[in-house]
Amino acid sequence: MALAVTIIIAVAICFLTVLFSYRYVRKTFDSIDQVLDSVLAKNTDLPLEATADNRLSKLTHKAVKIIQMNTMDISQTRQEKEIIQSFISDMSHQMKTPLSGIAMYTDLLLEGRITEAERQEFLSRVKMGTEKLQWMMDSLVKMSRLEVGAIELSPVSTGIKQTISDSISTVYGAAAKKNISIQTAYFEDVSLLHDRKWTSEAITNILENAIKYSSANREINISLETLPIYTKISITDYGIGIAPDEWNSIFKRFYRGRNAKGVDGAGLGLYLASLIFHKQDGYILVDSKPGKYTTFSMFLQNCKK
Amino acid sequence: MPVLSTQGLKKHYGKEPHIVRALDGIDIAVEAGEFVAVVGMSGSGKSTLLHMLGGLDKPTDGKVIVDGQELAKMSDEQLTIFRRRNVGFVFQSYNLVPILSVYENIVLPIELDGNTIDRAFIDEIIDTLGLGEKRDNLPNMLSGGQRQRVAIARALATKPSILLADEPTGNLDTKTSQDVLGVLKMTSTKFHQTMMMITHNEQIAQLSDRVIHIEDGKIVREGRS
Amino acid sequence: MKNNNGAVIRRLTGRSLQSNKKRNFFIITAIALTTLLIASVFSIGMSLMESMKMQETRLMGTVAHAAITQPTASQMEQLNQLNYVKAAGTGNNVAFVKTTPQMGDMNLSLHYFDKTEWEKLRAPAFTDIAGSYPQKENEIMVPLWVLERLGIENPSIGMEIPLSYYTENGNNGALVNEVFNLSGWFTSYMYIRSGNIDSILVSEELSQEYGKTAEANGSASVLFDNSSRVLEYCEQLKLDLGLSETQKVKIVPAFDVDPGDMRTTLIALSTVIAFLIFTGYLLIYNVLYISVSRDVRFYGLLKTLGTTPKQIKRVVIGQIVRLCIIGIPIGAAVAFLLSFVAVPLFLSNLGSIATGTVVSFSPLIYLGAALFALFTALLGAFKPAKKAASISPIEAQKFTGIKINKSRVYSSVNGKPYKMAFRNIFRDRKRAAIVLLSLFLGITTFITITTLITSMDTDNYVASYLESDFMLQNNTVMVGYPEQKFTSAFMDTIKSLPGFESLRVTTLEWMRLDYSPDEFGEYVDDYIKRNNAEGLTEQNIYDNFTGIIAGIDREALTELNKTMDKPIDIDAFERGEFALIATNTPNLFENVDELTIFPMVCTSESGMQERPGSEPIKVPVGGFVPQSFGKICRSFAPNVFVSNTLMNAVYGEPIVLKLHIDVAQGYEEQALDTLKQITDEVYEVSRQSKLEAQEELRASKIMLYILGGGVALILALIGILNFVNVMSVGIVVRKQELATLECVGMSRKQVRRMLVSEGLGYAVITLFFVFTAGNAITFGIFKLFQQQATYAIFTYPFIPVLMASLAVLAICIITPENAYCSIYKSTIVERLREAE
Repeated sequence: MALAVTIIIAVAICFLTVLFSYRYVRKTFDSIDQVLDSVLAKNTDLPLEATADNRLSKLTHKAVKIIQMNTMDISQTRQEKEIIQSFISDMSHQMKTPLSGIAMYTDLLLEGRITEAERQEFLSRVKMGTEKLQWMMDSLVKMSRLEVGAIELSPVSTGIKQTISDSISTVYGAAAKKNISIQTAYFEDVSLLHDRKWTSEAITNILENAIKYSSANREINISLETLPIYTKISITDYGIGIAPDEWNSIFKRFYRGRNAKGVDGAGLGLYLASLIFHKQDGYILVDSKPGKYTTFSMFLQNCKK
Repeated sequence: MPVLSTQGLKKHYGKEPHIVRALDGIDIAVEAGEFVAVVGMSGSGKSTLLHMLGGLDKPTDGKVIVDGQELAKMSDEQLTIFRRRNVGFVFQSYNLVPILSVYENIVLPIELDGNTIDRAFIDEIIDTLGLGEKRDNLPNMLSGGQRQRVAIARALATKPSILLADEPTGNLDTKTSQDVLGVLKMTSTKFHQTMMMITHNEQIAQLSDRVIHIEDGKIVREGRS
Repeated sequence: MKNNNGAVIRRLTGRSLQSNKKRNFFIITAIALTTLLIASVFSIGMSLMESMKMQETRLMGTVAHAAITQPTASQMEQLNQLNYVKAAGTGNNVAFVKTTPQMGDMNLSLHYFDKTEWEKLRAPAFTDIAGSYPQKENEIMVPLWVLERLGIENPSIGMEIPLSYYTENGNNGALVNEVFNLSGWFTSYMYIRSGNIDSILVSEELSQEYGKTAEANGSASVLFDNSSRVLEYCEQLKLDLGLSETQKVKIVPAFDVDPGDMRTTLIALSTVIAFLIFTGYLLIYNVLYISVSRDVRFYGLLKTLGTTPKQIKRVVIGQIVRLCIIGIPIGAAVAFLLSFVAVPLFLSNLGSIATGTVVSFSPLIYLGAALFALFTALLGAFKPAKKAASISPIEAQKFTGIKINKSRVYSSVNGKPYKMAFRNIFRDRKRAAIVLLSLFLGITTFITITTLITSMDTDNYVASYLESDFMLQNNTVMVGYPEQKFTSAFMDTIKSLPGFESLRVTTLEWMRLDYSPDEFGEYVDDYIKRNNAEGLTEQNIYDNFTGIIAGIDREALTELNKTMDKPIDIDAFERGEFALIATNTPNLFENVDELTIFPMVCTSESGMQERPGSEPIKVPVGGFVPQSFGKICRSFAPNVFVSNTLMNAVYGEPIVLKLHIDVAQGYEEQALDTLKQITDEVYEVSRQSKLEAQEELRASKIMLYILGGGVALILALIGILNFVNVMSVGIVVRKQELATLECVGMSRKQVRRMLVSEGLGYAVITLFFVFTAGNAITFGIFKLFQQQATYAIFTYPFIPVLMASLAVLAICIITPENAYCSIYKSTIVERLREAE
């Protein structure tokens, strides 16, 4: 009798366990199915709780993530397209000024009713214009390739000293013209993760900028400091300076500083420099006191030992 | 669709006439992948804003919508779980768990949600942040900069969609600040995170895509860089 | 499905424990002490119960529940098959030992037990069993006390013991002289109860030799499967076995335990345990609460990082559970070791166990203590865990570890250290309240226990329950084999005691009251209800309405009259004009005006019978005395008291139960010596003397002092631990604040003075409450205690109180001093920086 009751109870318990397990598993599958449906429909408004301390909620949360990643990828592609479009429109706009200058002088030259002195003057202006166009073309080509990722920078671990001296020798002539001396504080050579050709170009841009906005007979200081993660290359000039509210803008494409009106420039040098550093996981910061000094600090990652 | 947005966000402390309006009608929208700096003097309400966005505090009025979810509707428990899945925090005072080693601190948010640790990813973060040698040290053995890098690593570990940093370099000297900041910027870009950083330092704000100036609980200026 | 994030919670729990060693120490100590105290209380309770139970069976000399006289073989067979019978054995009398002068006063028989009877029913009631049950005809097994009387101090198996015995009762039959071989011995306790009646065990062979059988000369003992249904089973037995007219089922008399008494014990026990849990709770709660408040940043941070409130609760509760795993076994182990020493001490000082005490090691004690301790710990952890879980991340960010009471504006402190100290004490009022309560409870308990013990005035105690300097009692009477022990020659010896002053005699005989339902109906109904003796017919009642009639002297009533509303006319009583009924409910006897008393006689052979040649007498009822008057046990009919004059007139020479002897002051010791000589060898006479009682009481008072003091000390220790924890943690938390104070120009001396004043403040406040409310509580508890122990005289234990107060003061000064020194090792700058 007792045995029979025990068996009946045992069977009943087994049956109930199986029944409830089955129902539980079925429910769970239904929920997973629901989540997957939402993923397919790219619907982030999931019917299930994504903020509970259980596994189903975790699953829901991850599904939402997947959907978001997907949408983000799409919007990223769209953004890139927009960058190229704005780039093209910017470029055509920037080219208009030198081109129209060249066109005007060429017209004047063709009309022929000018003195020899005027002819010389116009020709040299046309030359300047074409040089500027040439330089812009070069920069734009570089930029466009960098920006859309047509060329990849290949940062390798090499000494920075050579890179810096490459840049200095490039701008040496320009500096000498304004009687500006470039002082480099002594530093031990360090290996930094960078692409020498492009980095040198970026530093050159900063140096050119410094020379451009410095008054004659001043100094430009270069120093180097190693931090735990980055090494900082600072270039300080004692020129017109940049107001703090402009700090955020100067690295923008075609941006010309308010104080830079009288100075030649296309607003591409700093942009290109910052782009090059970003592409190498580095960055540029500016610090300045208008009328006193401007310091550009460039950060490059140290090599891991 | 913005990842992070507020609508008429208000936070008031106390009662009339001694009411303090820490936030007084803030409307912002941050797109995915954007790096926004919030600049303001101390007491301008910028920390309160960050707390609201991270679900650490509840608004008096208005909405905070993160990843399409309205935070005010959640319970304490839900908010906590929401935080550990979606938000990474970096604070001025590091806030490392003193009883856990560097590695354990970094993986804590992952383990809290019972997820498998993606070792390769964690190793990459640790490597990037130069913490490899300090892995098994306790936080009190580290310098300020190192501690903040651990905090950054921890904030990145769960690959959260949003990174909230409250004066992350406030306790560091200028040089270390620049170092840590660079890391923060670099990693967040690398891992496609949306970041909002509070600072009172304009120089630090340069790294951001956008700067929001707050004064007396209101947005006074907003500019794309 | 639950989230799989248990591992990290366990790790956090473990690490939290590792980083809070000092706090762990306090909590483990608290848990261990709580376990120890609870286990000790359980252990004493269980041991007492087991000892009482064991005493019961040992005094009975059997574990059986009932006996059937003269069972037949077929009845035995049936008996063994009944499902409610666990065991049944038989035994029979074989012969009666002739007592020699050397053996002194004793009543020995030779007895045979069968295998079941010996092994299952008798042996468990004996102790120190050596050797084996007799097998051969000339083998015997003897109780140790009998061997001693025979002059054998060191018995050995096989030694020869000569005995003379009669084969039939009453010196009838043949007198046989035989030399037996000793096959074994044991300690029997029966003789204590029965007045030197005991048995020597012999073999079956000897029994058969004299043709003795259970059917003719013995009885069967029965052990039922359920001790609470003995009455029911006995009735069942009668039906199932078809007992004949002459066969009787006797229930083994077990000592009545008053259920009311049990309830009081139970209430007392629960109160004590509740109290222990409460004190343990206070300490654990406070230590944890402080630790959680200190770790606000930690828990807030965990929450910021995504630890849910539930997980945080698990971290806190998990810590306490792990600490329990360490603390409870420690407490239980100490309790286990302690129970070897403390429990027997305690039990023997309770004085009610005569047959040796057992210490219970029932796993229930430790399981119970562990459960209660765990309960205490969880109770203590619950609120701190909730607090930890509800910490808001924002608050944690701002937290500096210092709580400031905003609701109150203080007057200027003028930088006076003691004023700042006072403010510091009440900075967190809740915490201050708990510490003060804990200290207060500990010290008040200490004072209360000391007061109760010192108040137990021994002289007063002895005087309250011993009416005279000496009391002798004839033990044969109560066992049911009355024998006149206090003969007139004996009385003469008493009267010649040195310094003899007076002698009071209590006599006792048996009687049957003439029953009629009109008169005694109410009483009998009440009796039946109380004793569950349903199913009696009127005839049964009439036949068995027997009881005890006792004769007393006038002096016995003089004392009683002082407490009576209606004094008894002693002169008339002395003249035998009326009788007194012993009852606590006189209204049951409203219809009884006159008693008709049939004198009876009680012998060991034939039980109770009408006294031959005596006539019933009629005596009016003259009043009532309390049930417990004269400390005489009761039977079916109420006890009746008459004057000794009347007793002598009716019973001739009634049996003397008690002698109350008083001697002149200063002669007590001499008289005691003489009495010892007379009575020490006579086992049927027991002696009580004020002198001995006082000695005994003094000894047990010291023991109580040690035990009670120990408990009180542990409780005080818990209070002090709590204080030490709060104070030292409080100072460490305020490290930065103290450093700031130093920076703004407070000298180290002043800081120290401030901290010491703080400690002193706690001490002064605590002592203030102890001396006001605490003393009131002590006095209140004393009053309650006095209701139980009327002999107690309130004595305030000045010296222990003074010492306790000094100890509290000392600790309250030393703790802050110590804590400050420990943080002083670092410089101000370091301390300021460390605060991050």
